[in-house]
Amino acid sequence: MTHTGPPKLELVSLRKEYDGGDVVAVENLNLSVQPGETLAILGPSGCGKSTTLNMIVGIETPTSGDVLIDGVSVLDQPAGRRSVGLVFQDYAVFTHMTVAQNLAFGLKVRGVAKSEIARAVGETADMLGLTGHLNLRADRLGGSELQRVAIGRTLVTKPALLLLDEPLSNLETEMRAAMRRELRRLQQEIGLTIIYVTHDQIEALSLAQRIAVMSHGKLRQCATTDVVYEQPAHTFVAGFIGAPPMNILHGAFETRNGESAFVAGPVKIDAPSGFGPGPSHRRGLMGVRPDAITLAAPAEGAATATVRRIEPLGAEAVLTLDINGQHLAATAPARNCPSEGDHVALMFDHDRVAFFDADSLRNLRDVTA
Amino acid sequence: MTAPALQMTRITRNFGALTALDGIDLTLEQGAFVALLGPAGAGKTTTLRIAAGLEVPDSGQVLINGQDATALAPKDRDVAMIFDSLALYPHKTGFENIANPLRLRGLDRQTISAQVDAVAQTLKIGHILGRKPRTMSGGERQRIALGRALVRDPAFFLLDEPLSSLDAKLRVELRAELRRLQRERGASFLYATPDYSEAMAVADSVVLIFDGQVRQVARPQVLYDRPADTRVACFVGAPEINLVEADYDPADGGRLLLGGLMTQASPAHHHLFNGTPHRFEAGFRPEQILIAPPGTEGANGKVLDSEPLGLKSAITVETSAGPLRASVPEHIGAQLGIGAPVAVSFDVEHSLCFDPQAGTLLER
Repeated sequence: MTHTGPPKLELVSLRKEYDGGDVVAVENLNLSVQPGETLAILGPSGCGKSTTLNMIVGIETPTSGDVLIDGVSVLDQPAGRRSVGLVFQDYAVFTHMTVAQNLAFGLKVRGVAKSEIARAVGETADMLGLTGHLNLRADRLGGSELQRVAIGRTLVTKPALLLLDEPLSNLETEMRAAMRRELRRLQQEIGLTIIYVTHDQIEALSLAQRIAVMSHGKLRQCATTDVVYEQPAHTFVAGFIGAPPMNILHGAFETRNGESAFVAGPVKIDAPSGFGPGPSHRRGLMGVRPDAITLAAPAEGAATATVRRIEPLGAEAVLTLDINGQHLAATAPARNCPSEGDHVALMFDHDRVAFFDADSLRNLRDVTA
Repeated sequence: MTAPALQMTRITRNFGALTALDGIDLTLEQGAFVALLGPAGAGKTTTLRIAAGLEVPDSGQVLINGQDATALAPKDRDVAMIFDSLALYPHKTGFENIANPLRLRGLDRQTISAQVDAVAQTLKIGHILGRKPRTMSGGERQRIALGRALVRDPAFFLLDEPLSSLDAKLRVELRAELRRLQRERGASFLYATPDYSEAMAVADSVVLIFDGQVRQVARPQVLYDRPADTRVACFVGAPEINLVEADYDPADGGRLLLGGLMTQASPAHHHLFNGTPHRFEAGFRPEQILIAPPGTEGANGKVLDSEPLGLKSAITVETSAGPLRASVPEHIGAQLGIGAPVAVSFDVEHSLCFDPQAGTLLER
C-alpha cells in the first residue's frame, strides 16, 4: 500500500479481562487498518471479536493497551465522540419515524443546521437508493431496506471508521447476497474504512481485503484473503475457513540424500527446502484444500484412497476419501465422479499445500527453524 | 419385504383459512435418510409434527412400521424428534439428560448406565457426561440431545433443522455423525431443512415441498440436474440458475436465440422440438455460463458484480440476454473488476429446457 500517513485505526497490545483477570476476553491484540481498507474480523462465538469492536467504539474500556484513530489515542474520548459509526445486527432503526427522520437523527442531536441536515440526508438517501422511501415510516420497510436505513443513519455523520457487527445475520440468504453487493459498491464509491465483524466466512471472503481470524481472545492470523485461504497461520484457521475446511494429514518430515519430504502413509510430498535441516523424522501436519486434490485412476507409485462417501453439491460433489484410516475431503465435478467404494489415486497440487508444526500447530513458514 | 419406517398418505392440515399441508405423500424406508426440503412456511415442521403425533391431520393416514398410527399419541409412537432449539434439562448433567427416557421406562440402574455409555461412545461424548449443559459448547449440547434420542432406539428420527444454529465446521462433523448412525445402526432419518446444500449433502433422497405440496422426490444429484420445474430449479443451487427466454430455429444446423445473443443449438434441442421453430425457457446453471479469459476478443457483456466466495467467484454479467450469473474459479474472478468487458458463451449441451408457460421441465 502506498499510503504514508498514520493508519486509520491501530490497536496496540490490546487486552481485556473480566472477573478480576479470571477471564481474558482479548489478549495482546495488535492490528492496524489502513484508510480505505475493509478488514473482516472473523471467528466463532466467544472468540473476542465483539469485545474488540466494543473497545474500538468506546463501549468497553481495555484493561491495557491502546486504540489509535488517525494516529491519536482515543481512550479518553467517550463513545459518542470517537468518529466511529457502528451498525449492528439488530439495526436500531426508529420504526415510528420516517426514513428521512431516521437519517436526520444523528445530525439533529449534534445540533447541525437544518439546511445542512437536508443536504446530507438527501445525499445519503441517494447513495443508498432510499430517495423514493424518504417519507415512508420505517415500519413499512423490509429487512434489507431497514438495514440500509441503519447504515445510512451512520454514514450521514461521516465517521472516520465504519464498524459493522454481524450486520447481515438477520437477513434471508437472497437479501444477504444483495446487501453484500451493496456494501461492495459503497466501498468502491466512497472509499470508506470498514471493519466488519462476522462469524460467516462467506461474508468475510466476499467483502474484505484482509481477514483477521480470532479464537480464544487471540489473533491467529491477519492477512489478505488468499493468504488466509492458502497458507493459514495456524491449524485453527485452516479448519475454520473453507467449506469443507482444509484437510489436515498427520505425518512426518523425512530427509534423505539432502532431499526433504513429508510422508503420511502412502502420501509423499516434497517439502520446500526453506524449512531448514531440522531433525529427520520430525512429526508434522500437512494441510491441503479439497480442491487442490485431483483424482485419477489407480496407478503404480501413486497414493491410493477409497471413496467412502459422496455428497453432491450441484455442479460438484464433495468426496470423503479414506487413506490409511485418515479421512480427506476432495471436490470433483459431478459429471464423471467416482462411486462409493471406488479406489482412486490422489494427486496433490504441490504449490497449494501448507505444513504445520505438530506441537505449536503453527504454519512452518512462520516458524523459524 | 419390510414395511417402511414411516408412510404418510394424502395428508392435509388446515389452520383456519390457511392450508398448511395439501395432500402430502411421503415414504421413509427402513434405514433410509430422507431430507424434507422447502422454504420457510412450506409445511416442513407441520409434516414432522404430524409424523410425531404432536399434530393431528385433517385427513390422510400415517403408518409407522406398517401399523396405522394416525390417531396414536406421541408417547405411543416410538418416534424421536430433535429440534434446533434443543431442550436439555439445564440442572441435569449430560449423563442424566441422556438417561432420562430410560428412567421413565423404569429400567434398572445398571442397564441404564450400560446403554448411556454405549451411546456416549458412539457420539464421542464420554468426557462431557458429568457436565451441565451451560458449560458445554453448542455442538456438545447438540450431541447430548442426539444421545438422548438415540438411547431410546426409536422406529425413526425426525430432525427439524437440527444443525442450523451451529457453525460450518461442526455442521459437517455432525452430518457425518448422523450418516454413521444410519450406516452402523440402520437408523432411519427424516430431516427437515430449508437449505438445499444441507439436504443434498446429507440425504439419499430429497422430498421437496412448496406450499404444502410435494413438488419433486429425487436423489440429490437428480434434483439439481433434472429439476421438475423452474421453481425447483431456482430453489436448488447457488448462485441461482439463469432462466432466459429462448427461441429455437432449425436453420443452419439449429441455433438458439437468447435475448440478443445467438448460439449453436444441441442435437437434443432438434430432437425435443421435432426440428420446428419453438419458443421455450432455457435454464443455464452458473457453471454453464462460460466466461472467456480476460482480454479475449468479442466481448458481449460487462461485469456488473464479482463476488469472491473462496474456491469460486460469482460473477454477474450484463448482456443483451439480461444479467447472467456465472461461476468461475477465484483466480479468474479476481481479474474481473466491475465494468470489465467479457466474452460470454453457453454450455448448451447441459442446459435445461422449460415450458415457457407452465415452467415444467421438458424432457429431452
